[in-house]
Amino acid sequence: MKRLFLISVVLMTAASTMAPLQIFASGKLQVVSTLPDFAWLAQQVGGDFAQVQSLARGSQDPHFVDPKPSYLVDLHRADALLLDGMQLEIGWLPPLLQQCGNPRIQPGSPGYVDLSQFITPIEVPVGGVDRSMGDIHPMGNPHYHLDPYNMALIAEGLGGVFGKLDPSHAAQYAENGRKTAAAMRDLGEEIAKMLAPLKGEPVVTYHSTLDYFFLRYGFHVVGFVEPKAGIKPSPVSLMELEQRMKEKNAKLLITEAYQDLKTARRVAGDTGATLVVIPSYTGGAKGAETYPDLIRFIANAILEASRG
Amino acid sequence: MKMSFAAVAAVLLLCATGFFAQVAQPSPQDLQQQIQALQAQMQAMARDYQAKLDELQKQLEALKSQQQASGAPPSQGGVPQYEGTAPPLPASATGANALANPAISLIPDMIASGGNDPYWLGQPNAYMREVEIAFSAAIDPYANAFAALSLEDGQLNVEEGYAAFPALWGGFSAKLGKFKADFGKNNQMHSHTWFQADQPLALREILGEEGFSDTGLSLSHLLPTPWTSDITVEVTSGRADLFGGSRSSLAYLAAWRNYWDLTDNSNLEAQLSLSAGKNAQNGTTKLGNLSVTYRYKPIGNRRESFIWRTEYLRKDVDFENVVTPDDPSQPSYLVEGADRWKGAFSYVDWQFARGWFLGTRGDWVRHPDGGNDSGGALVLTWFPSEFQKFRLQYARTNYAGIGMRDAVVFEYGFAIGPHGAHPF
Ligand SMILES: [Zn+2]
Repeated sequence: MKRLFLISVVLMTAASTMAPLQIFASGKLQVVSTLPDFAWLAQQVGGDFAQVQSLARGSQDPHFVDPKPSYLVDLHRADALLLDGMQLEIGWLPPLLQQCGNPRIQPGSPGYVDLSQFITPIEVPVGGVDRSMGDIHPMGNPHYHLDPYNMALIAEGLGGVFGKLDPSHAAQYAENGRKTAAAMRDLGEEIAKMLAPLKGEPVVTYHSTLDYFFLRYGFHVVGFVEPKAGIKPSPVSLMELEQRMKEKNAKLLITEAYQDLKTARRVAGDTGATLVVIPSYTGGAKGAETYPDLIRFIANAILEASRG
Repeated sequence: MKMSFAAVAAVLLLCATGFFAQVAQPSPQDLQQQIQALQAQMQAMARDYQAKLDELQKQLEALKSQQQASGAPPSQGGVPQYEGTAPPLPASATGANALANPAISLIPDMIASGGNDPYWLGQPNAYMREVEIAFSAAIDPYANAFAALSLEDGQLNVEEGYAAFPALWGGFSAKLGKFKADFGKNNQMHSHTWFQADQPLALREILGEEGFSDTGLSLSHLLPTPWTSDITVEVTSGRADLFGGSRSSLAYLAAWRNYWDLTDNSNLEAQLSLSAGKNAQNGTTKLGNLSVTYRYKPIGNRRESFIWRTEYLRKDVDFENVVTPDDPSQPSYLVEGADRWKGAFSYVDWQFARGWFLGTRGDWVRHPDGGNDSGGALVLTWFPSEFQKFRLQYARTNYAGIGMRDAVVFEYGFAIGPHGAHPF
């Protein structure tokens, strides 16, 4: 037993001396993002000086990511961790941070970057919040990535954050941040032009994932397939939804691909609405490999569906 | 080696004194006092919350009127507000609560059982098996605190209570306090996260009802292997019912965990844990666990998943007893021997719809006298939401010397409190 203990101590000592070598092997700023959209954005801002990875995949429901041990390896050597914040990752990120053994990305460290600091949140609950409201987002809607103008703000913010973490390239990060922000605003305007004919269009969606997008482009959300955040629809809630859709003449049901499409299909069928299944994160579908492509994919899908 | 252990032990015991002071067999009066103190604390917290909410409400009203007065909604890249929703709260207001109070969760677990299985016959036909009260908060920038108190049968126990240091020098992470030992996967799970209504037979019989948990220090480090691998070393007090429990002896544990992503949707985990400590019979108690888990969980949906877990356990209790013969003219002599326990379990849990799980488990234990207990269980679990659980379980067990016994168990549990991270 003692020998085993000794061996493990030796192994651990070896590991701890090798770990730093691993960290600086590439010489680039190592960035880990919880979500692929922010990974894409961070790569634009980081350019050649940063290496960026996403933990979650684009096809994944970000509320329910498994805290896989393999994430620990990426987190262990990260110089910066970008997270959505607003408690979106509360179900899976804390145990990973606890186990990764990396002081640079712990809450309160400069490498722990909560991106929600750069945006203005919507749907912040007022007064008492409890679970009778379902699995509610208690700090407001955390799905702010689908508004390109939010991404512009984050790009500028990241320019500053990377500059602090890696001062030798601060000027380039700031410059990249500004350029990326300008590109995001251009993208925002491009989409606004595309979707202009649909201003005021009544739509139904599944979860509040697209609310920033809908708000930005003037869609009118008349209902959700889930009766409360994260709660499975019941026959009664679906009946009420279908009635409201008919009243408000909602012809589009737009849902994230990872939701229960069978239910969504039935609601669409019952009401004569068109079901639009969209990837809600970068990489979530073929043709949505980059963030601009994702936003164009969503806009196109909605536009095409509206034309029947 | 001895010297360094002595140093670690000194630090440990210093830190552990507080725990022992609370854990060591409280008298009924003590308990009464503890409960009253807790109640008072809870009431104070409730009042505190109310005051804070009122204050928030006031701040909000003030903000609203300010905004109306200035007529300037956020624009310039910001997001326009939905009609009828409020402007964002100042971040400091939400942050203040986190400073004032730890996150508190309350997790009751109710059981009703029928049949002639001696394990369940030893329990009331329906009872509150446990109420877990979990607290967590950051202590300071260097450590997080976690405590799970369990209220069982009028007894308040510290199930776990430790400070976790996520990032020590050299890439180590550590736990200091009372924690569930890193001895296989199932041992570390809290009862409300079990895949069945009870722990597998092997864990119950070999590690005892409370499982393998102890007070001490746990150190972990990732290994620079091409796959995900880490090593955990634990030095603990050598709890009395599992080891010797004498003041001078400690228990040691080393765990080697390995993990592979097979695809985006499936992974494999294998862990070897070995532990040893001096026991009360002048010998050493050695424990071993080999655990293998396969998980299938498509990342694109939440309506199907599959987990298969198998663990093999061993416990060798070496002993040395001085036997004094009845005839005083005969010299005393030494008897050496070993009690060897072996056990295993294997289970699957298959999710076939959102919130619905069907599972089976096979159990086996070999006692030191060679007798075998073996059995199987069929389990249906329904989660109406993440926070509520209904479970029905049928188990059939063949106990050595007793024979075949049946049990039907119904379990209901819920969780209130902050959104805890789900276990992996
Ligand atoms: Zn959400």
